[in-house]
Amino acid sequence: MRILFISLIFTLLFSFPVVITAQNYTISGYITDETNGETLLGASVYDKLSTRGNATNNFGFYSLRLPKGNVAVNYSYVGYTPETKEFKLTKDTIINIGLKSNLLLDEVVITASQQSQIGVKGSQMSAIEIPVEQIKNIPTLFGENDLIKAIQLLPGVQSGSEGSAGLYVRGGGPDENLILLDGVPMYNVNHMFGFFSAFNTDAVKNVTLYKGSFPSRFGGRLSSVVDVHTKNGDDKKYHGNVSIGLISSKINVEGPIWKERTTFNVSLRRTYFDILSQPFIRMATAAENSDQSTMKVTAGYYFYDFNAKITHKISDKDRLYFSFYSGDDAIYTRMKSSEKYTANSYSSTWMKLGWDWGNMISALRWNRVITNRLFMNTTATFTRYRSNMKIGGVYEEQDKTKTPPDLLLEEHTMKYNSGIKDITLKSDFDYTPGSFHEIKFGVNYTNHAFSPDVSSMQASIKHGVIHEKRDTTLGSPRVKANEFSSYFEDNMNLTRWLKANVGVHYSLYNVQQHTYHAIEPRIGIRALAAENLSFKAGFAQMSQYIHLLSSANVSLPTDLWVPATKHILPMKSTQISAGVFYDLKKIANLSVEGYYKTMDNLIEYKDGASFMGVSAGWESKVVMGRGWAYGVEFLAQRSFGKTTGWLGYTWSKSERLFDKPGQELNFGRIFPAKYDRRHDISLTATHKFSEKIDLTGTWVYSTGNAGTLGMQYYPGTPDTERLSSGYYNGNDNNRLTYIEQRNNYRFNSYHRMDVGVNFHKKKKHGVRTWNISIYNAYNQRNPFMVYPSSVYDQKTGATQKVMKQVTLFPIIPSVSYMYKF
Amino acid sequence: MVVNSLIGADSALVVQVSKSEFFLSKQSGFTGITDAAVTLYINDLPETLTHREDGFYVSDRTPKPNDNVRIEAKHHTLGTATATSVIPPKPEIISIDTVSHIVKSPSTAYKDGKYIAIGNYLNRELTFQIKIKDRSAGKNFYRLVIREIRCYAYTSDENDLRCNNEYFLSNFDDPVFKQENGAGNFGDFFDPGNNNRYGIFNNDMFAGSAYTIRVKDNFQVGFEKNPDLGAEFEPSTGGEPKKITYRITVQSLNQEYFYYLKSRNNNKSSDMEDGLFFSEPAQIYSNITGGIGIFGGYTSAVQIIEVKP
Repeated sequence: MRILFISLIFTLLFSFPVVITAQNYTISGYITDETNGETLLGASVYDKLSTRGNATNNFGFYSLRLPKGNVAVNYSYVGYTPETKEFKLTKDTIINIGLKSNLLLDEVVITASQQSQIGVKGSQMSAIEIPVEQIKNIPTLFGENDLIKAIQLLPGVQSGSEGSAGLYVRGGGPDENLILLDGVPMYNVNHMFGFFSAFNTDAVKNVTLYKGSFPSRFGGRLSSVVDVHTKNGDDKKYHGNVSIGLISSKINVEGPIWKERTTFNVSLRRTYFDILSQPFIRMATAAENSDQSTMKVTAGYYFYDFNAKITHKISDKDRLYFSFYSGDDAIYTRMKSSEKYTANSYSSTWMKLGWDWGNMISALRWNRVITNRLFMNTTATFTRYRSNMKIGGVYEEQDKTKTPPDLLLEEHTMKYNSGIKDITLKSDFDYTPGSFHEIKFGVNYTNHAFSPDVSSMQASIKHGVIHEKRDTTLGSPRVKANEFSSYFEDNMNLTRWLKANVGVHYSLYNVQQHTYHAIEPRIGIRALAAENLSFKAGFAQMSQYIHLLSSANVSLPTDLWVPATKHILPMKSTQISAGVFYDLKKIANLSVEGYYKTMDNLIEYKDGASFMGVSAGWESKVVMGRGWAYGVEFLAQRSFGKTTGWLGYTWSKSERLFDKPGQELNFGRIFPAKYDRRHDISLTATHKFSEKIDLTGTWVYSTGNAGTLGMQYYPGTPDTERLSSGYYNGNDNNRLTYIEQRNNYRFNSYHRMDVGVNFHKKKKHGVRTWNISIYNAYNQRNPFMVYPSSVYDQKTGATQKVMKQVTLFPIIPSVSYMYKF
Repeated sequence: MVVNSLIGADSALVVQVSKSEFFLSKQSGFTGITDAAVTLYINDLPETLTHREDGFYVSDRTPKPNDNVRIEAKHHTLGTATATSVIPPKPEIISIDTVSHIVKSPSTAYKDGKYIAIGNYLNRELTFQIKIKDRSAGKNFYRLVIREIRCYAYTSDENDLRCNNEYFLSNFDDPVFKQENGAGNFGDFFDPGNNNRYGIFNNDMFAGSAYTIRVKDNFQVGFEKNPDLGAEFEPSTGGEPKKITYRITVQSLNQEYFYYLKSRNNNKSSDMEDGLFFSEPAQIYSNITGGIGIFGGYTSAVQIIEVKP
């Protein structure tokens, strides 16, 4: 009966607009940047006469169904001069249009994406677009532009510990974010233990963050979607930029391979402290060398990322894209030393450590405009994350005075590998049946191969007749899993004031001959109260079939991606949200949103467990529980004019409960989530004084992070055997630490101001920019971690116990140079 | 207020009442509370405990298995702390068998510029097969404690033996102990071993039935010399024990005491020495309402085995 009722509602919703929209024709095409041919995503197409509109999809394609007769189609995109085409519509028409970029448009002219799904008029809530130019201007640590750090400044999003690039969205964990690079999930989005993100902003075209009310096309993570699209490349001329910063240099080149048909866009970034530090390491070790002993050391750390994209326009209807990303971090040490005892005896040691971790992503995509109302995108992708560590050493001792010479040779090797590989094939379709519906549907198949942790050790000792060998391999077996999903969503204009995005995402996951599946309804509703005021509400259920096992406060290469298995259930979430959206004309867009989210089957390490002790297998080290989060978010965002930026405020609460028998944490009682923080404020502003100078600044404040700290000592009971024979004493050897509950301790609140200034100058072949940034401008000593310690007072000779705080980043000025040609 | 007491079925009850210390406090030890009013209830029958010294309060009574025991400690500034506990039934050791065999370990020496085999050390590997019977089909908790005392002859008089201090066997590798292993620590990465420091286990593998726990020990018993060699290669023998006494205790624990030992084990895995940065500090279980500490119960079955190698 219920199914019949739902079917009836859907039938009515679909048939009603069709009946009243007879004699319609379709206008379709691509909207691009006129100067470089770059497609504009989410650009607005709006008929002023019929007040009907649509927006471009992720490939810049639009399709708008309008009644026969006169039309006045307005094309607009934030930061571009709008254009209107007036004509009589008598047949299906293709209009590919190029808009002119103009970042300093008069506020009056801006129509701020009339048909964008995200603004006051769109049905999408809990989503924010950040213009990439704004991301590039935000002052950051060591002057490195950072997409993830910019997202952390948005309401509803929290960073982890100081400087970290982790994302904690609406009470979720860092593994609950679907981070898509050109539609392909990225597993590791960090460099340098999380202090920098893996995205090179030079390659990025568009970023959208979804925190709730997720459209049906997204699935596989609980808490957020970060949808990042890279630039296709200029289809008319070659250009690019080179920048040199304190810790890294970047180069980005783009242009046509075949004018207006085939383009490329290539970006490379690499750090260079390892190269710069080598002479100092050599000098330091050389100073220790003598005739008897010598030592040679090479050591360093670097990260790099490389993005490449080739776009080929086969015809007006077909386009091919190939994109590739590779990003790695690496630590390496090589040490060789020798010691000469006499003319005939010596020893030598050789040691090598290498640890590298990172992502590799490749995607081949085919777009086809099947009809002017049906657009298809088919993608084949391969993504891989891996962390490999290898430590090896050889010790040799030889005494030639003996016959035969006495030789001791010891060789040791230890390897640790973990990773995940995905192969995906998917097809997405956009269909515009009438002017009241925008339908999206698609299917996705992914084959996952998990290698949670494998370590091996080999040792060999040769001494005379003794030859000992040891060869051990430990770890969890590889797990293969198949994931299939399909979705359907309809963005419906029900009436002029009522709009809804209704859909469903279905996923099926098979692992270890066990199958899970989930039907996830998604609903977003917008009620327009006035031209600049709307009310929205959303409902979304999500499922996640992979987990990240992380045992430290920063992102480490030892964090393990593990699958849902027969014993470890998939995570699930349900989120409801509601909000008010107001377009304060000529000033900013305002929104206030509230949400309530529940999360099931979250996993945490058992008490006392960590990623070490791999032999036990990860499944035996974790427990499953649930959590919930709720909060209110305020955002005032201004994306146009000389002054841009946003002010965000979040009040939130996030808690966890692990109370299943045998899986208790905190003895089965509720405890605050690791990044439960009551208040978060962020203010980001950029002001362009002239073509030559712009000034940017951010200020953030947040309640201190929660941590687990024992704040009382007390005597424990000694061994029962001894107790039974009489009295016992509590003393320091039997001193226990009392921890009231998990995450019982609140760090000091966090606040910081960063400022930056850009000086631009036009040169003969381009524009050069000097950027001067100051991170933590007023040198606030923010807590990274705290621990009890002792200090010795030389005057009194007394030792005093104190609480010490570790601060990672004091005031850090930086300078970078960029030349754009 | 900290209240600690472990009640056994074969000893008078002792309650320690003390004060916890703030972690930044200058004080190095703990202060026993000497002026508390401590009352013991065995099956609701009260008894005021007598303070002996430094916060230790003793009872004249000895609770029996299945008795309901409650303690209440009242202090004029620290308030009232209470806890209840039950002494579990005594565990049953059905039998203890030993199986042993000799393991040879080759030894070499350096002579005339080369290594030569001089013989084999002979080690006896002793396996205890401790058969216990689970007391009921419900969830039950146990602990195995094996104390070992080795005695050596330092003179030619075989009866003049001198014994070492007692030593607790650890690193039990029977599967029952692995279920309650501490979840691992930094050292395990290089040498995965047993992290069940207190030898605790539950009856998941043998609910309501008998189970044989296998525990190994080994010691040197002699040296097998290479007959081709002369007297110059006399091995350093003589350090073999002449008598080893094993005191094997199987304890039946109540749930509170089991949780307490398990959480102490986890706490050790996650402390600054072992877990450092990589794990969340683990809490220690407490069943004291209005205070902290443990009021646990246990009973023991003991057998002593003497081995003359």
